[in-house]
Amino acid sequence: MNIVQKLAVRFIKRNKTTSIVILVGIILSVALMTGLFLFSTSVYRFSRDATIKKDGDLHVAVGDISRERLETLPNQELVEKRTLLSLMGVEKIDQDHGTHFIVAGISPEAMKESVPLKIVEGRLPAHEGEAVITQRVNSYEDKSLTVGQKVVIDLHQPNHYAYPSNEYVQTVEDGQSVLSLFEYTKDRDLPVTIVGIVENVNLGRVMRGGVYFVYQTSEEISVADRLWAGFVIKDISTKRLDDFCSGLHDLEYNLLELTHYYPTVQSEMSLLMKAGTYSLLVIVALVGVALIQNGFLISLSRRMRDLSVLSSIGMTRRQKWMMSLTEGLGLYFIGMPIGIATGFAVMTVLLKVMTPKMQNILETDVTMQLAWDLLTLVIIAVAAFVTLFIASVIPVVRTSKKSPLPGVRLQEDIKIKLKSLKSPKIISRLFGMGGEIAWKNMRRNRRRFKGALVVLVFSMVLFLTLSSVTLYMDISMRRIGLGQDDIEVDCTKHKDSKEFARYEKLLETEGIKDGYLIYALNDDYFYGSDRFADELDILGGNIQVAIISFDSKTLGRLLSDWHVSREDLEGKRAVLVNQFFYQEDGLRRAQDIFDITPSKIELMATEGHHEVAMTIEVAKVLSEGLDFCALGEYTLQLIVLPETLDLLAGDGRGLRANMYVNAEDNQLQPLIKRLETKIYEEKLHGYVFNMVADVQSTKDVVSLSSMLICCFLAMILLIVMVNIYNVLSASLRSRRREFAVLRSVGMGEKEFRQMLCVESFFYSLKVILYGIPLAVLTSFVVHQAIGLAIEFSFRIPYLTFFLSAVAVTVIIMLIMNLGSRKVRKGNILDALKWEADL
Amino acid sequence: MDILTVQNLKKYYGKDETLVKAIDDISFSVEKGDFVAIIGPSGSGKSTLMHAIGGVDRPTDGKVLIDNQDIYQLSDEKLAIFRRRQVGLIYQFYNLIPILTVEENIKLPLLLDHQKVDDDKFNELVRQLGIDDRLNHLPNQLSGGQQQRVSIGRSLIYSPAIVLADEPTGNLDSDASREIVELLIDSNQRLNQTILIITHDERIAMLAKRILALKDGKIVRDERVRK
Repeated sequence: MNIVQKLAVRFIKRNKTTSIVILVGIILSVALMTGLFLFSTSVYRFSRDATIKKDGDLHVAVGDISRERLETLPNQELVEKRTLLSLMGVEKIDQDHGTHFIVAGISPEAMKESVPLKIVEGRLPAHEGEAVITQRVNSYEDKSLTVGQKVVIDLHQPNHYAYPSNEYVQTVEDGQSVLSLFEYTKDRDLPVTIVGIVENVNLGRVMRGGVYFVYQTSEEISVADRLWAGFVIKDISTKRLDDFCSGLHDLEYNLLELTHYYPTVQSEMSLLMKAGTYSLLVIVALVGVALIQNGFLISLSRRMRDLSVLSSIGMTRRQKWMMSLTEGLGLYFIGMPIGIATGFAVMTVLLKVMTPKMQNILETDVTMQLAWDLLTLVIIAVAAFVTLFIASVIPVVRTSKKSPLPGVRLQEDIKIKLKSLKSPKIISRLFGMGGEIAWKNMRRNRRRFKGALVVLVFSMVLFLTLSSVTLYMDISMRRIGLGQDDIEVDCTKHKDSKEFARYEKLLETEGIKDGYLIYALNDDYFYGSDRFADELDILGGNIQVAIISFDSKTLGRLLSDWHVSREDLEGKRAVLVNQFFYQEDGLRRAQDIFDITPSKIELMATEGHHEVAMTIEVAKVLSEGLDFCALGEYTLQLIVLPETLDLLAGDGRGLRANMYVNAEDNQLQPLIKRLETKIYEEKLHGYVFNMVADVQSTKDVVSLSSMLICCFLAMILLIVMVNIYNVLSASLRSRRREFAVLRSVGMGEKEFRQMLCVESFFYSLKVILYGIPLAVLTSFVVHQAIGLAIEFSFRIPYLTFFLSAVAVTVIIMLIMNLGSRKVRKGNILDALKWEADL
Repeated sequence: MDILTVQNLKKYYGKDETLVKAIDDISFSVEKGDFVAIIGPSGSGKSTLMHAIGGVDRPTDGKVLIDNQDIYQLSDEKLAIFRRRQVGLIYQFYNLIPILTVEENIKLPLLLDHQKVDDDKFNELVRQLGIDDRLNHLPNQLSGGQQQRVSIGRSLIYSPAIVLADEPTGNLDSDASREIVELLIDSNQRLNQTILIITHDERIAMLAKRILALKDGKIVRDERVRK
């Protein structure tokens, strides 16, 4: 070890307290960085695993490709795995429209991982002649296949394999978009045995909706003329994905959701995660730099005399740099592994806590594991090293620039000020001589106080932003799910109301506490008027109009409550609801629509157009909104009879129906199951949505985000508080000689306290004056960010702001008094001679 | 042969009505092997002159040539190295490095230069300084006189062109002071070491070969008292 390294090691040992502070700074910074990286990689891995389990592991799928074309696809060296389904044909299900079910040949290998079929009833096909159907097949009115049933599929060959939502299909030919009719050619009869029913699949444009999956061997599939092909790309990245897909220009392909969960793929998700992680990393690094740098500055300032002597003896600036860097490296190699281990430990615990919520959010049973790789550790080590390097360079540069003279002469550089400094009379009147000295001290040594001030302001802004974040998260939580029902059943589109009676039977399902069906015209309508209420703030002066009706029981009750008879609403006549409800700040508020209600409503089919699409007479006006109804926010509701809807839908606009129910206690899941079964058995068109789960899922996201933000800011705050203590107490320690001089000329304890009081007060005042406006600004930024998802008016937690201002003042006073006590009470002569350091 | 030449040296602080002329146009030379005492009242510029000569404090104007090298033409890096090898500094408050042992403190200039220490020379030096039994002690384990001896040892280890002593006995009792002065005289006589010493003590000043008296930043007396 050369003399420079020896000096570095011994200085670390001698300045134990400061070295520990620097070490703590390194450990905390590294732990935070490690936690950040581990979090993002673990969440990525978890999301990917959950998606693979749910939807398979394919990155790219080509819906319809010939065998010849498949073999000549370019860039096949990029493919790690290829999964093929044969497109055997289709079963037509409607003679008039181009609707069909896909009949696909599937092998056991495909069923394992790439095309996960989730059994609802029965089993997967394992032998020739066996098949499973998706639930959608049986939801078609003419179908009711059961497990074990032998059927003969009337196989046809379509001209296109696109999903038949109507009779036309849009394809691309020679770069041009072409619309053509579905055409079918009879192929053969295919006898199969239905061995199972599986959940509906969505494997791209072709492979969704109703599908027969017929057992075939891999060999059979490989010789099929038309195929559905899925690919797993080797070491997936954006470039590899683009390179592979560039060979598919003339074919339609689907990038499946899975690719978003690879960090190497440039998707919105990965960009968001990376941006978030690196932004937080920068914040951590900045805070780490501040803490470590302050630690170094304090450490170096405490041995300024030694450095001056070394300089006078002939230590060069480069050697001083090396000494400081050696100290830094020594602490780095101690702190870094501890920091990484701490990060791992904390993340392991955090992931365990987060797992149930994350499983709920992604609706999976996959366990969240700690995911890391060597590259991550290298990045953390490099980031920590860069942080330390930046933190140590600035103090060393500053001290190396200083002349060796002050330390040698045992006094400050001679600085002669041109102007004399007078303190305001009120200071000396209130605080006496001590206060006057404090004032002049603060005015003359602004640079010394600036460092501590910046740190204090930063910590206050952080703390106040944290309290604003928790307030906004609380509002968001209250806002989510307000007024929502437990279950929504989307009963899809209908030509008319004839089928509504069948859906109304669902309301008799066991386990329903209350519920209703709401029917509406499928199209949107608008109404413009100069009679809107002044407070009504709608864009463009036109309000959206919903023409609705209800199930017979609900409608009957409402008409009775409103004293309106069915005859009053016959024809194109409606009850006008002159109020709607909206959410604001976690509360439900009401807004009147008209000051003077019109006697008839002339509706426009398109917003801003003046062509009247229909006219509806107002039979009755309700001054209060329908508080039970899911529709209504910023919408004018016109309630009509179901027959009126038929009348208005006569031009082929169609109707839609939605059912909203609340479950009895502990009946949510069983009720969902019963509704799904009833819909399936009655061959109704309906999709059951668990709104409670959705709300809970959103609440979980919010509470998880809130928890993570709080953890992160709390860690940052911890680092900053250590820094505050370090800076303030070091500042006091550096003034030991000054205090000794004051005491030697007769300054008493009372004057000392006055001096420290004034300094603390002005410190606090400055911190508050800078900190609060900055905190309001950062709170506003956070509010805007949260407002992208959930809107509420901007507010700040006034009480917290006030309490934190008080807390800052108290903390500063405490630190200044306690920190100075040892310094004030020490031996005067030792302090004057600067020998206490030896 | 002149080992030290000071030409028109000035050190000013402040400006206009607050201008302070700590050194006001001083010129003199010192021959190799000379022992010069610098005396003067407080604030006369003695320490400022010493620090300017030692390369520790850059003057406002003028030149300092040590062994024909204009030291203020050197870069900071080269000046530090020059100081290490050619200038020995002894201070009133010893200014030892508290975390290094006596041996390390004495060898410090050589160690900074990554030079190998001549053990014979080192052993002879510490024996003459009377601290050969304290080599593994830390400075806070020594008396004031012993610490000053260590400081002298550090200044002599490189056999520099010039040794500058700023009130080396200012913090010592009379016995220790006498021993220190004797050591300096001995090194001057035996090793032909050029020494400049600042002192308030007339008796010490009279032991030197030449006396420079300063007042208000100027040389008011330059007297050779012995050859």
